[in-house]
Amino acid sequence: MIRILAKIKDSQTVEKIKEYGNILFVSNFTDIVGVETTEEKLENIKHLEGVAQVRLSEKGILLKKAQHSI
Amino acid sequence: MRILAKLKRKMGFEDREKLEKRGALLLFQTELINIIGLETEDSEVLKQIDFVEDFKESEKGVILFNETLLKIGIQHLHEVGLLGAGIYISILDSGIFLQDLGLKYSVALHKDFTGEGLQDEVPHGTIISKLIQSIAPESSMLIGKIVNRFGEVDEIAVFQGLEWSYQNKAHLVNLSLGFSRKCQGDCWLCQYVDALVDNGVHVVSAAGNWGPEKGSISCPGNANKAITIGASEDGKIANYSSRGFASQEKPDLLAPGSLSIGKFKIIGTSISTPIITGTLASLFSKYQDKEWVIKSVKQSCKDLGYSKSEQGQGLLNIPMLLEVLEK
Repeated sequence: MIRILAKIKDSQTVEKIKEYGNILFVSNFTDIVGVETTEEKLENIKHLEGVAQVRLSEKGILLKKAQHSI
Repeated sequence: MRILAKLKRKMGFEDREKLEKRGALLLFQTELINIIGLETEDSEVLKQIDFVEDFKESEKGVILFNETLLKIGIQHLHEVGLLGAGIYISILDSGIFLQDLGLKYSVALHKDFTGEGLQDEVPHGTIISKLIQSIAPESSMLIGKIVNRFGEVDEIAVFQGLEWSYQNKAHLVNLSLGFSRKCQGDCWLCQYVDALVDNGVHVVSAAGNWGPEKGSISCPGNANKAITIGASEDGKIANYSSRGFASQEKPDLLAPGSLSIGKFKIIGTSISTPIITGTLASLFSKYQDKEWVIKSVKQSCKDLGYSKSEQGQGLLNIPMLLEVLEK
Protein backbone atom coordinates (compact mmCIF):
# COMPACT_ATOMS: atom_id res chain seq x y z
CA MET A 1 0.00 0.00 0.00
CA ILE A 2 1.11 3.58 -0.59
CA ARG A 3 -0.07 6.87 0.85
CA ILE A 4 -0.71 9.78 -1.49
CA LEU A 5 -1.92 13.36 -1.36
CA ALA A 6 -4.27 14.45 -4.14
CA LYS A 7 -5.30 17.99 -5.03
CA ILE A 8 -8.91 17.90 -6.19
CA LYS A 9 -11.05 20.33 -8.15
CA ASP A 10 -14.36 19.71 -6.41
CA SER A 11 -15.77 17.81 -3.44
CA GLN A 12 -17.55 15.23 -5.64
CA THR A 13 -14.15 13.90 -6.64
CA VAL A 14 -13.72 12.44 -3.15
CA GLU A 15 -16.47 9.93 -3.95
CA LYS A 16 -14.73 8.94 -7.18
CA ILE A 17 -11.39 8.47 -5.38
CA LYS A 18 -13.09 6.17 -2.85
CA GLU A 19 -13.44 3.59 -5.65
CA TYR A 20 -9.66 3.29 -5.78
CA GLY A 21 -8.52 3.77 -2.19
CA ASN A 22 -9.26 4.59 1.42
CA ILE A 23 -9.73 8.25 2.23
CA LEU A 24 -7.49 9.08 5.21
CA PHE A 25 -7.88 12.82 5.33
CA VAL A 26 -10.34 15.36 4.02
CA SER A 27 -10.98 18.89 5.30
CA ASN A 28 -13.19 21.89 4.62
CA PHE A 29 -10.09 24.08 4.65
CA THR A 30 -8.17 22.56 1.81
CA ASP A 31 -8.64 20.88 -1.53
CA ILE A 32 -6.04 18.27 -0.56
CA VAL A 33 -7.14 14.71 0.17
CA GLY A 34 -5.04 12.00 1.85
CA VAL A 35 -5.50 8.55 0.36
CA GLU A 36 -4.17 5.04 0.98
CA THR A 37 -4.08 3.02 -2.22
CA THR A 38 -1.95 0.62 -4.30
CA GLU A 39 0.60 1.33 -7.06
CA GLU A 40 -1.85 -0.10 -9.60
CA LYS A 41 -4.82 2.01 -8.53
CA LEU A 42 -2.68 5.14 -8.33
CA GLU A 43 -2.84 5.46 -12.11
CA ASN A 44 -6.65 5.38 -11.98
CA ILE A 45 -6.70 8.15 -9.40
CA LYS A 46 -4.27 10.27 -11.44
CA HIS A 47 -6.57 10.06 -14.45
CA LEU A 48 -9.80 10.97 -12.66
CA GLU A 49 -11.30 14.11 -14.13
CA GLY A 50 -11.54 15.99 -10.82
CA VAL A 51 -7.96 15.27 -9.74
CA ALA A 52 -5.56 18.12 -10.47
CA GLN A 53 -2.32 16.79 -8.97
CA VAL A 54 -1.06 13.76 -7.09
CA ARG A 55 2.11 13.14 -5.11
CA LEU A 56 3.34 10.66 -2.53
CA SER A 57 2.90 11.57 1.14
CA GLU A 58 6.40 12.44 2.39
CA LYS A 59 8.19 11.37 5.56
CA GLY A 60 9.15 13.96 8.14
CA ILE A 61 11.29 13.68 11.24
CA LEU A 62 11.38 14.85 14.83
CA LEU A 63 13.55 17.93 15.25
CA LYS A 64 15.81 16.76 18.05
CA LYS A 65 19.35 17.14 16.88
CA ALA A 66 20.85 15.11 19.66
CA GLN A 67 19.61 13.23 22.68
CA HIS A 68 22.25 11.77 24.93
CA SER A 69 23.55 11.21 28.41
CA ILE A 70 25.96 13.84 29.70
CA MET B 1 -10.58 18.80 49.88
CA ARG B 2 -7.56 16.54 49.52
CA ILE B 3 -6.26 14.98 52.71
CA LEU B 4 -3.17 13.03 53.78
CA ALA B 5 -3.94 10.69 56.68
CA LYS B 6 -1.62 8.72 58.97
CA LEU B 7 -3.05 5.35 59.94
CA LYS B 8 -2.60 3.34 63.15
CA ARG B 9 -2.20 0.16 61.14
CA LYS B 10 -2.26 -1.20 57.61
CA MET B 11 -5.57 -0.65 55.89
CA GLY B 12 -7.65 -3.63 54.77
CA PHE B 13 -10.52 -3.98 52.33
CA GLU B 14 -13.14 -3.41 55.03
CA ASP B 15 -11.39 -0.25 56.16
CA ARG B 16 -11.60 1.05 52.64
CA GLU B 17 -15.35 0.44 52.68
CA LYS B 18 -15.60 2.38 55.93
CA LEU B 19 -13.94 5.34 54.26
CA GLU B 20 -16.20 5.18 51.24
CA LYS B 21 -19.31 4.99 53.42
CA ARG B 22 -18.27 8.30 54.97
CA GLY B 23 -17.82 9.88 51.55
CA ALA B 24 -14.01 9.73 51.50
CA LEU B 25 -12.51 8.72 48.16
CA LEU B 26 -9.16 6.92 48.38
CA LEU B 27 -6.59 8.55 46.07
CA PHE B 28 -3.32 7.04 47.26
CA GLN B 29 -2.25 3.95 49.19
CA THR B 30 1.08 2.17 49.58
CA GLU B 31 2.39 -0.95 51.27
CA LEU B 32 5.52 0.90 52.36
CA ILE B 33 4.11 3.23 55.03
CA ASN B 34 0.78 3.74 56.77
CA ILE B 35 -0.09 6.96 54.96
CA ILE B 36 -3.01 7.37 52.58
CA GLY B 37 -4.26 10.18 50.36
CA LEU B 38 -7.97 10.80 50.04
CA GLU B 39 -10.55 13.30 48.94
CA THR B 40 -13.52 14.29 51.08
CA GLU B 41 -15.90 17.20 51.43
CA ASP B 42 -15.83 17.07 55.24
CA SER B 43 -12.53 16.14 56.90
CA GLU B 44 -14.25 15.98 60.31
CA VAL B 45 -15.66 12.54 59.42
CA LEU B 46 -12.12 11.17 59.61
CA LYS B 47 -12.14 11.74 63.37
CA GLN B 48 -14.84 9.09 63.60
CA ILE B 49 -12.72 6.46 61.87
CA ASP B 50 -10.89 4.26 64.40
CA PHE B 51 -7.81 3.41 62.33
CA VAL B 52 -7.00 7.03 61.40
CA GLU B 53 -4.34 8.38 63.75
CA ASP B 54 -3.95 11.86 62.32
CA PHE B 55 -4.64 13.81 59.13
CA LYS B 56 -3.88 17.11 57.44
CA GLU B 57 -4.76 18.89 54.23
CA SER B 58 -2.54 18.05 51.26
CA GLU B 59 -0.26 21.04 50.64
CA LYS B 60 0.51 22.75 47.36
CA GLY B 61 4.07 22.42 46.17
CA VAL B 62 5.93 24.63 43.76
CA ILE B 63 7.23 23.60 40.40
CA LEU B 64 10.95 23.08 40.38
CA PHE B 65 11.83 24.63 37.09
CA ASN B 66 14.45 23.28 34.83
CA GLU B 67 17.55 25.45 34.57
CA THR B 68 16.74 26.27 30.92
CA LEU B 69 13.36 27.68 31.90
CA LEU B 70 14.75 29.62 34.86
CA LYS B 71 17.32 31.29 32.61
CA ILE B 72 14.64 32.77 30.38
CA GLY B 73 12.46 33.77 33.33
CA ILE B 74 9.47 31.48 32.87
CA GLN B 75 8.89 31.64 36.65
CA HIS B 76 7.84 35.30 36.21
CA LEU B 77 4.76 34.14 34.27
CA HIS B 78 3.68 32.07 37.27
CA GLU B 79 4.38 34.88 39.71
CA VAL B 80 1.67 36.94 38.02
CA GLY B 81 -0.74 34.02 37.76
CA LEU B 82 -0.26 33.18 34.08
CA LEU B 83 -0.69 29.41 34.20
CA GLY B 84 -2.61 28.55 31.04
CA ALA B 85 -6.00 27.81 32.64
CA GLY B 86 -8.71 27.15 30.07
CA ILE B 87 -6.30 26.82 27.15
CA TYR B 88 -6.24 23.67 25.02
CA ILE B 89 -2.91 22.74 23.47
CA SER B 90 -2.63 20.04 20.86
CA ILE B 91 0.72 18.25 20.95
CA LEU B 92 1.21 16.35 17.73
CA ASP B 93 4.21 14.15 18.40
CA SER B 94 5.21 10.61 19.41
CA GLY B 95 2.55 10.17 22.13
CA ILE B 96 3.24 10.12 25.87
CA PHE B 97 4.32 7.65 28.56
CA LEU B 98 0.96 6.36 29.68
CA GLN B 99 2.44 5.54 33.10
CA ASP B 100 3.20 9.22 33.76
CA LEU B 101 0.40 10.23 36.12
CA GLY B 102 1.66 13.82 36.23
CA LEU B 103 0.85 14.14 32.54
CA LYS B 104 -2.21 11.93 32.50
CA TYR B 105 -4.30 14.39 34.50
CA SER B 106 -3.55 17.21 32.06
CA VAL B 107 -4.65 15.22 29.03
CA ALA B 108 -8.16 16.16 27.94
CA LEU B 109 -8.20 14.02 24.82
CA HIS B 110 -5.89 11.71 22.90
CA LYS B 111 -5.81 9.97 19.56
CA ASP B 112 -3.35 7.67 17.85
CA PHE B 113 -2.82 8.23 14.11
CA THR B 114 0.00 5.67 13.75
CA GLY B 115 -1.83 2.44 14.52
CA GLU B 116 0.72 1.68 17.27
CA GLY B 117 -1.20 2.95 20.29
CA LEU B 118 -0.56 6.12 22.27
CA GLN B 119 2.54 4.94 24.18
CA ASP B 120 5.64 7.06 23.47
CA GLU B 121 8.35 4.68 22.29
CA VAL B 122 10.87 7.29 21.10
CA PRO B 123 10.74 9.08 23.70
CA HIS B 124 10.02 12.60 22.52
CA GLY B 125 6.36 13.56 22.88
CA THR B 126 6.57 12.92 26.63
CA ILE B 127 9.43 15.40 27.04
CA ILE B 128 7.69 18.01 24.88
CA SER B 129 4.43 17.58 26.82
CA LYS B 130 6.14 17.84 30.20
CA LEU B 131 7.99 20.95 29.10
CA ILE B 132 4.73 22.62 28.05
CA GLN B 133 3.05 21.45 31.24
CA SER B 134 5.76 22.96 33.42
CA ILE B 135 5.31 26.34 31.69
CA ALA B 136 1.49 26.27 31.50
CA PRO B 137 0.52 23.84 34.29
CA GLU B 138 -3.18 24.63 34.21
CA SER B 139 -3.60 24.17 30.47
CA SER B 140 -5.21 21.05 29.01
CA MET B 141 -3.54 18.88 26.43
CA LEU B 142 -4.80 17.12 23.36
CA ILE B 143 -2.27 14.39 22.62
CA GLY B 144 -2.17 13.32 18.97
CA LYS B 145 0.33 10.58 18.23
CA ILE B 146 1.51 11.06 14.66
CA VAL B 147 5.16 9.96 15.00
CA ASN B 148 5.88 6.25 14.97
CA ARG B 149 8.32 4.25 17.11
CA PHE B 150 11.09 4.89 14.57
CA GLY B 151 10.74 8.67 14.95
CA GLU B 152 9.19 9.04 11.50
CA VAL B 153 6.05 10.94 10.64
CA ASP B 154 3.94 10.45 7.57
CA GLU B 155 2.72 13.72 6.05
CA ILE B 156 -0.90 12.59 5.95
CA ALA B 157 -0.76 11.96 9.70
CA VAL B 158 0.20 15.63 10.17
CA PHE B 159 -2.86 16.68 8.15
CA GLN B 160 -5.01 14.28 10.20
CA GLY B 161 -3.62 15.53 13.51
CA LEU B 162 -4.08 19.17 12.59
CA GLU B 163 -7.66 18.61 11.45
CA TRP B 164 -8.37 16.69 14.68
CA SER B 165 -6.93 19.61 16.65
CA TYR B 166 -9.22 22.04 14.86
CA GLN B 167 -12.29 19.83 15.31
CA ASN B 168 -11.57 19.58 19.03
CA LYS B 169 -11.14 23.33 19.41
CA ALA B 170 -7.44 23.48 20.27
CA HIS B 171 -6.18 27.03 20.77
CA LEU B 172 -2.58 26.08 19.98
CA VAL B 173 -0.79 23.27 18.18
CA ASN B 174 2.82 22.32 18.90
CA LEU B 175 4.79 20.74 16.05
CA SER B 176 8.35 19.81 17.04
CA LEU B 177 8.89 18.08 13.71
CA GLY B 178 9.37 18.96 10.09
CA PHE B 179 9.75 18.04 6.45
CA SER B 180 12.97 19.16 4.83
CA ARG B 181 12.17 20.43 1.33
CA LYS B 182 12.43 23.52 -0.79
CA CYS B 183 9.29 25.51 -0.06
CA GLN B 184 8.44 29.17 0.05
CA GLY B 185 5.39 28.63 2.21
CA ASP B 186 3.33 27.36 -0.69
CA CYS B 187 3.48 23.57 -0.31
CA TRP B 188 0.18 21.87 0.45
CA LEU B 189 0.99 21.40 4.13
CA CYS B 190 1.98 25.05 4.58
CA GLN B 191 -1.17 26.21 2.76
CA TYR B 192 -3.24 24.05 5.09
CA VAL B 193 -1.52 25.44 8.19
CA ASP B 194 -2.24 28.99 6.99
CA ALA B 195 -5.91 28.05 6.57
CA LEU B 196 -6.03 26.62 10.09
CA VAL B 197 -4.55 29.79 11.57
CA ASP B 198 -7.18 31.81 9.68
CA ASN B 199 -9.74 29.65 11.47
CA GLY B 200 -8.42 30.35 14.96
CA VAL B 201 -5.88 27.58 15.61
CA HIS B 202 -2.38 28.97 16.22
CA VAL B 203 0.34 26.64 15.00
CA VAL B 204 3.79 26.79 16.61
CA SER B 205 6.30 24.95 14.46
CA ALA B 206 9.99 24.14 14.80
CA ALA B 207 12.26 25.84 12.26
CA GLY B 208 14.45 22.79 11.78
CA ASN B 209 18.01 21.70 12.55
CA TRP B 210 19.53 22.20 9.10
CA GLY B 211 21.37 25.46 9.79
CA PRO B 212 23.40 27.47 9.20
CA GLU B 213 22.47 27.10 5.52
CA LYS B 214 20.10 29.73 4.17
CA GLY B 215 16.67 28.52 3.10
CA SER B 216 16.90 25.49 5.40
CA ILE B 217 13.64 25.97 7.32
CA SER B 218 11.48 22.86 7.17
CA CYS B 219 7.74 22.62 6.57
CA PRO B 220 5.33 23.55 8.03
CA GLY B 221 7.71 26.07 9.60
CA ASN B 222 7.72 27.78 6.19
CA ALA B 223 3.99 28.49 6.41
CA ASN B 224 3.53 32.26 6.46
CA LYS B 225 1.09 32.16 9.35
CA ALA B 226 2.85 29.55 11.48
CA ILE B 227 4.87 30.83 14.44
CA THR B 228 8.25 29.41 13.53
CA ILE B 229 10.82 28.85 16.25
CA GLY B 230 14.58 28.70 15.91
CA ALA B 231 17.06 27.71 18.62
CA SER B 232 19.48 29.72 20.73
CA GLU B 233 22.53 28.46 22.58
CA ASP B 234 24.36 30.46 25.26
CA GLY B 235 22.64 33.67 24.17
CA LYS B 236 23.54 33.26 20.48
CA ILE B 237 21.74 31.62 17.61
CA ALA B 238 22.51 27.90 17.61
CA ASN B 239 24.60 26.92 14.63
CA TYR B 240 22.24 24.09 13.72
CA SER B 241 19.10 26.25 13.87
CA SER B 242 17.57 26.50 10.38
CA ARG B 243 17.70 29.87 8.63
CA GLY B 244 15.21 31.43 6.23
CA PHE B 245 16.06 32.35 2.66
CA ALA B 246 17.25 35.92 2.09
CA SER B 247 13.85 37.60 1.72
CA GLN B 248 12.09 35.46 4.33
CA GLU B 249 11.41 36.85 7.83
CA LYS B 250 11.57 33.42 9.38
CA PRO B 251 12.09 32.03 11.91
CA ASP B 252 9.74 34.32 13.82
CA LEU B 253 11.79 34.15 17.01
CA LEU B 254 14.29 32.06 18.97
CA ALA B 255 14.10 30.16 22.25
CA PRO B 256 16.69 28.00 24.04
CA GLY B 257 17.33 24.75 22.19
CA SER B 258 18.71 22.48 24.87
CA LEU B 259 17.24 20.84 27.91
CA SER B 260 19.08 18.82 30.56
CA ILE B 261 17.18 16.51 32.85
CA GLY B 262 19.62 14.84 35.24
CA LYS B 263 22.24 13.22 33.04
CA PHE B 264 20.02 13.33 30.00
CA LYS B 265 20.32 16.11 27.44
CA ILE B 266 18.16 16.83 24.41
CA ILE B 267 19.05 19.46 21.82
CA GLY B 268 17.22 20.94 18.84
CA THR B 269 14.47 23.26 17.69
CA SER B 270 12.22 20.49 19.03
CA ILE B 271 12.92 21.98 22.47
CA SER B 272 12.68 25.66 21.49
CA THR B 273 9.17 25.17 20.09
CA PRO B 274 7.30 23.98 23.23
CA ILE B 275 8.89 26.80 25.24
CA ILE B 276 7.02 29.25 23.00
CA THR B 277 3.86 27.11 22.89
CA GLY B 278 3.75 26.98 26.69
CA THR B 279 4.46 30.68 26.99
CA LEU B 280 1.64 31.55 24.59
CA ALA B 281 -0.76 29.24 26.44
CA SER B 282 0.08 30.99 29.72
CA LEU B 283 -0.59 34.38 28.15
CA PHE B 284 -3.74 33.33 26.28
CA SER B 285 -5.28 32.34 29.63
CA LYS B 286 -5.40 36.02 30.61
CA TYR B 287 -5.31 38.06 27.42
CA GLN B 288 -8.19 37.50 25.01
CA ASP B 289 -6.65 39.21 21.98
CA LYS B 290 -4.37 36.43 20.78
CA GLU B 291 -3.00 38.32 17.78
CA TRP B 292 -1.92 41.13 20.09
CA VAL B 293 -0.27 38.64 22.44
CA ILE B 294 1.70 37.06 19.59
CA LYS B 295 2.73 40.49 18.35
CA SER B 296 3.83 41.43 21.88
CA VAL B 297 5.90 38.24 22.24
CA LYS B 298 7.74 39.12 19.03
CA GLN B 299 8.12 42.82 19.84
CA SER B 300 9.67 42.14 23.22
CA CYS B 301 12.34 39.75 21.93
CA LYS B 302 15.97 40.48 22.62
CA ASP B 303 17.80 41.43 19.44
CA LEU B 304 20.88 39.21 19.17
CA GLY B 305 22.22 41.19 16.23
CA TYR B 306 21.51 38.72 13.43
CA SER B 307 19.39 39.30 10.33
CA LYS B 308 15.62 38.66 10.28
CA SER B 309 16.14 35.51 8.21
CA GLU B 310 18.42 34.15 10.95
CA GLN B 311 16.90 35.20 14.28
CA GLY B 312 13.48 36.60 13.28
CA GLN B 313 12.66 39.14 16.01
CA GLY B 314 15.30 37.72 18.34
CA LEU B 315 15.33 35.71 21.55
CA LEU B 316 12.26 35.26 23.79
CA ASN B 317 12.50 37.78 26.64
CA ILE B 318 9.93 37.12 29.37
CA PRO B 319 10.66 40.11 31.67
CA MET B 320 10.39 42.52 28.73
CA LEU B 321 7.29 40.71 27.46
CA LEU B 322 5.50 41.19 30.79
CA GLU B 323 6.37 44.89 30.72
CA VAL B 324 4.98 45.23 27.19
CA LEU B 325 1.76 43.42 28.11
CA GLU B 326 1.12 45.51 31.21
CA LYS B 327 1.68 48.87 29.49
